[in-house]
Amino acid sequence: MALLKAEKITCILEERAVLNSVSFTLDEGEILGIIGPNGAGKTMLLNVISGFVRVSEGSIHFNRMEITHKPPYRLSRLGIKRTFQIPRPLKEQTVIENVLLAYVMAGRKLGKLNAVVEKVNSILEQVMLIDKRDILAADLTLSEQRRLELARTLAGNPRLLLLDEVGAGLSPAMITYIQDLLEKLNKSGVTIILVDHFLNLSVQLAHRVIALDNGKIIAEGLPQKVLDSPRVREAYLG
Amino acid sequence: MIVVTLTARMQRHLYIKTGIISIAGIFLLFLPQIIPGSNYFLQILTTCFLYATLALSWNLLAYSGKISLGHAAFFGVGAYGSSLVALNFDINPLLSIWCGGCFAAILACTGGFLFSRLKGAYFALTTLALVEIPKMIIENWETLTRGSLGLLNIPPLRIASTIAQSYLPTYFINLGVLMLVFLFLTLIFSSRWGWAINALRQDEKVSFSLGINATFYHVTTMTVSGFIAGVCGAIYAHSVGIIEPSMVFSIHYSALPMVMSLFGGRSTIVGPIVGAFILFSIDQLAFQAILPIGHQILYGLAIMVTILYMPDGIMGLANREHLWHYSRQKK
Repeated sequence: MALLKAEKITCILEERAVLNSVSFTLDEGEILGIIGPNGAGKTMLLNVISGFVRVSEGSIHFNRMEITHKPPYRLSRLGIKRTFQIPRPLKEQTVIENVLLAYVMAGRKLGKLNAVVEKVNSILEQVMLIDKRDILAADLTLSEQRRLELARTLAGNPRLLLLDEVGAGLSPAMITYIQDLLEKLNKSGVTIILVDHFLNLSVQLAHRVIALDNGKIIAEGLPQKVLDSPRVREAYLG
Repeated sequence: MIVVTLTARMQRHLYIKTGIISIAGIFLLFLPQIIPGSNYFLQILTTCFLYATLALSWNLLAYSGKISLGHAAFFGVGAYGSSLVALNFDINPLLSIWCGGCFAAILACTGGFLFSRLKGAYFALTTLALVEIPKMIIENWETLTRGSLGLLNIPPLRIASTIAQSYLPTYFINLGVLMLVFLFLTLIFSSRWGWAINALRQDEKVSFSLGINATFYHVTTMTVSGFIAGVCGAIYAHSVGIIEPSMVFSIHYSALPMVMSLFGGRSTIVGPIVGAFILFSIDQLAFQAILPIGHQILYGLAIMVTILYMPDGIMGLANREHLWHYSRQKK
């Protein structure tokens, strides 16, 4: 069953079509990679799906419900969780408070407080931030901030994860670790869209890849096939 | 509303805050018995309580990331609302002050809806203009409000068994309202609501992505803030007895809570109270004597010193965790 269905979404900003008639569907439990050169519209596509940017034309359905003009907080409550390309932790809060906030705001019943802390601790363990638990988020390194972003989305009980460059700036070992983590998540039923400029995650993880250039889909299919297609090579290498 | 104070850091903060303020509150409650008779210090304290409450109301809005330059609007509407209710319907001022608060809350709620999309300086400037609307209406609705002549003979606040002319009832009422507001805000700051507005102040986009409804939280925060400011205005009207539009809608009541909150430390809950007590005491005890006319220069000086040397205010300096944090950043 299609979890997400985008039909001819066009997004015009300052008289330029940053997304031009983009259509695709995403099945439940799938991992979709979105690749493309700088300015291709990858992040814009995530912004549109998560409601941060309004589409000019077209429609988006999530779980058979129309979500085209819904505000971002509604979509977040439906289970569409995103990370940001440049990490945006709440800097005056500690790491655990950041994750707790996401947990509390996901709108579920909290129940016993100790159980909540345990749950959040286990999320922090998953992203290897448990040692930094009580450090202010402002003092984290870039790699740690990226993992904090990931932890925040995990705490929000996601159905559809939108990950923007989650692997950029991480060490190879950490990328392998994140890859395993995402695979595990996917097996537990979370659908994932990966935006990936450097192709380091999507090639191995994605079941399917969409290549964007100038706001248009130029190739779609299995990762290796898309990478080998001449149009994608041309777009990347110029 | 679920109270969420999960981490040790937040629990510690909560205990320290409520502990210190409760002890201070009990001490202040018995202070009139220790200092007998009509005392100048008690009168200053009475006004301190009022300004501290007003500063707390301003600070609540600032905590959600919105700087208001127009709290005089709520202050004035509260003052006029309560006075008119008390004069026209012959209601006990102890009840009418809450009516005044409600009138201010209605104005704040409307403003909150209309301005919910504005940010930063645009919001601040709009609130500055907001003061003029109720002021103009009150100045021109002469059949009800006597226009710029103002209202006279507003009944004073009275608690049973106290003398009418004494300022002691006002002392206790102001103290009570301050404690009430303080406890209420402490509860709010550690609840889901407080978490949400804290996140909104730090990063609105992230708040959206976490599922926080910005409009709802901004409107409710502004309504509560307006209500508290309105109650302050009402208490002021009843303790002074005479009000006129240019008095209660003066920029004084917009600037004062802001200066006090910034000086004491915004985004903390004790900060505005500390700021109000220190600044108003210095103003009345020292500056009033030296400069009888220009004594309010103190508030200008205070805001300059605060912004230049201690952007987090006095509570920011006192907070060791913050000091540690900054010294680490410098390295």
